[in-house]
Amino acid sequence: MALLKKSAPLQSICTAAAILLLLLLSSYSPANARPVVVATVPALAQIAQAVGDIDIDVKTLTSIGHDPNVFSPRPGHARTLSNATLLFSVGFGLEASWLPSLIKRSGNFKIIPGSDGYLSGGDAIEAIGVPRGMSSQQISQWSPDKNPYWWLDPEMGIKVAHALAIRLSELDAVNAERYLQRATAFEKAVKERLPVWRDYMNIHTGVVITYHNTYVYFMEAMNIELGGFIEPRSGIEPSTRYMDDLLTLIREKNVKLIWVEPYNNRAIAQRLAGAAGIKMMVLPDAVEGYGTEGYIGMFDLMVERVARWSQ
Amino acid sequence: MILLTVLIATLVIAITLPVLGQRVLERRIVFVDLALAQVAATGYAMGMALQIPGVYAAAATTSIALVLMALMDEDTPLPKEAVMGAVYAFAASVGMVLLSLLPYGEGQLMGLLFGSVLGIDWQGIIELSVFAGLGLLLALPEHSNTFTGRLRFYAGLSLIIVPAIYAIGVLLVFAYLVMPALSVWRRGHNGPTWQALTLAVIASTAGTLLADFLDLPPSATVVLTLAFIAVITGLIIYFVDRNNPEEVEEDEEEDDESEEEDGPERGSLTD
Repeated sequence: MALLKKSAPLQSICTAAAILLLLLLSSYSPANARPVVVATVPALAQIAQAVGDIDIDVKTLTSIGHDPNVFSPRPGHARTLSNATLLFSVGFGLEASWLPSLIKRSGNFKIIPGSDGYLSGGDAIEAIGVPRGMSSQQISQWSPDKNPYWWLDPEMGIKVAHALAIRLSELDAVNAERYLQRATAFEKAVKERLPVWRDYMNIHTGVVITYHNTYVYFMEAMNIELGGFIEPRSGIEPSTRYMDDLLTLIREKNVKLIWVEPYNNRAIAQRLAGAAGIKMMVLPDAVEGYGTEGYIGMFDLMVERVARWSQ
Repeated sequence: MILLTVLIATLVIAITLPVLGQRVLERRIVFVDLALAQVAATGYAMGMALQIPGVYAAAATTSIALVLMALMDEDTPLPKEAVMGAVYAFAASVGMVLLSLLPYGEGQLMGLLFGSVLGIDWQGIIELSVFAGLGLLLALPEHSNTFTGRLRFYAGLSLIIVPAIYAIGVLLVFAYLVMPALSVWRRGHNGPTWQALTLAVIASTAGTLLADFLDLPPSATVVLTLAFIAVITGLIIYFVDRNNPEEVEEDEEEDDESEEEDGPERGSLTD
C-alpha cells in the first residue's frame, strides 16, 4: 500500500507526459504538408484536382449519385473537414441544409464562410438569369439567385477554377505559380472540347423539358432551349392542369426529350413522356474520373447520352 | 388525359382501401401499412446492394416480416402499434444505412417509397386494380385470430398496400386507409361499409376535379377534400346518435350480448 501511495505522484507525471506527447504528435504538421481541399460534390473535387494536382490532397463529401440538397453527413465527414485547409463548396444554398452544421461539428474555424479557408461558387460567379424560351408564367416561378448547379456550365467551371487557383496561391505561396498554370491548362482543355459539344447538341437537341432546374446551366452553355420543368417548385407535386399544359407545350414546340436527374422520382416524368409519346432519359451530373479528364468526361458522357437518346 | 388517369386511380383506391381500413382499425394496427411499405423498400435497397433484382429482395423481406407479424397474437399484451412503429423504425434505419452506401440508390428508393398519383398510367391502374382485388380476396374473408388467419390477412394487406404506395404515394394510401373508416366509426365499432365507400368516392371525384380547377397538387388536395368530407360525415353521425339515445343503448346492449356469446364484434361488408 505504502509503495502504491509513494508511486502515485510518479504515475500521474508519467500519464501527463504521455498525454502531452500524444497531443504534440497528433498536432505535428510537417512544413511540407500538402494543403487539404475538401470539395462538397464530385465535380468540384475534379476541378480542385485539375488545379492542385500533386500539390494538394483532395477529398469529397458527397459521392456520385447523392443528391447534394438532402445529403446526410456522417461523423467521418466532420473528421474530414477538421483537417481541411480549404472547403470548396457549390454555394447558392445547395448545401445549406447540412454544411453549416457540419462545419460547426468539425471544429475547424479556418473553413467557416468568409474566411480564407472557404471558397464557394458564389465567390467567383453570379447565378444565371431566366433561361431562354420561358413563358411569363414560368418566369414568375423562377428564382435566378437560387440555381446552384453552375458546374454543369463548362465556362462557369473555368471561372471558378481560376478563383480556386488564386485562393490556393494565397494559402500555399510556394506553389502559387503552379496552381495558376494548371488553371490555365484546365481552361485550354475545356475550351478545346466546348465547340465539339455545342456542335453535337445543335445537331441532336431541340427544345427540352427537365424535371428540376439542375441542367439549366448546361442548357445555356450548349444553346439548348428549355421548354419547362415538370416540378417547378422542388418537392411540390405539380397540378394535373400544369401537366396537361406541358403536354400541349410538348406538341407545340415539338419537344422530343425529358431530362431527369439521377436522384429524382422518375414516375411523373415517365408518365408525361408516355402520354406525349416522347422519350425520358436520366442525365448524370457527375462521373468517375480524375481532374480535368474527369470533368471533361462528365460533359462527354452527357453529350453522348443526349445524342444517343435523341435518335 | 393526365386528369382522367388521376381520377380513375383515386377511384380505385377509394373503392378498395376503406374496406381494408375497417379491418385495420378493428385490429388496432394502423401503422402496419407504413411498416410493410418500409420493409419492402428496404428489401429493394438490399437487393441493389447485393446486386440481385430489387423486386425479389423486396418480396423476400416483406414475406419474412409478414410471418413475424403473423406470429403475434391479436390479443397479445404487447401494444401492437408500438410493435409496428418499431418495425418501421428498424426497416427505415437499415434502408438509410444502405442508401448512404449505394450510388443512385436514393432516387430509386424514394421512387419506391413515395410514388405520385401523377405518375400512374393505364397499365399502372390495371396492375393496381389486380393487386387490390387479390389482396381483398385474401384479407376480407372471415376474421380469424390463428397464425394462418393472421398470415392471410397481412399477406392480403401487403398485396394492396405496397404496390399502392409505390404507384400513388404514401399520403393518399394512408389517408384512404384510415379516414373513411374513422369517419363512420360508431361507438367503438366499424360503421356501415357503404358509408365509408360513398364518402371516399365523393372525395376522390371532388378532390381531383378541384385540384385541376384550382391548379393545386392533386394528392394533397384529394386528401384535404377527404378529410373535410370525413369530418362532416363524422359530425353528422355523432349528432344523429346523440339525438337517438335509445337506439344507442339498444346497440350497446346487443354488443354486450354478442361479446359474451362470440367475443368482440368484427366489422363486415354487410353491416
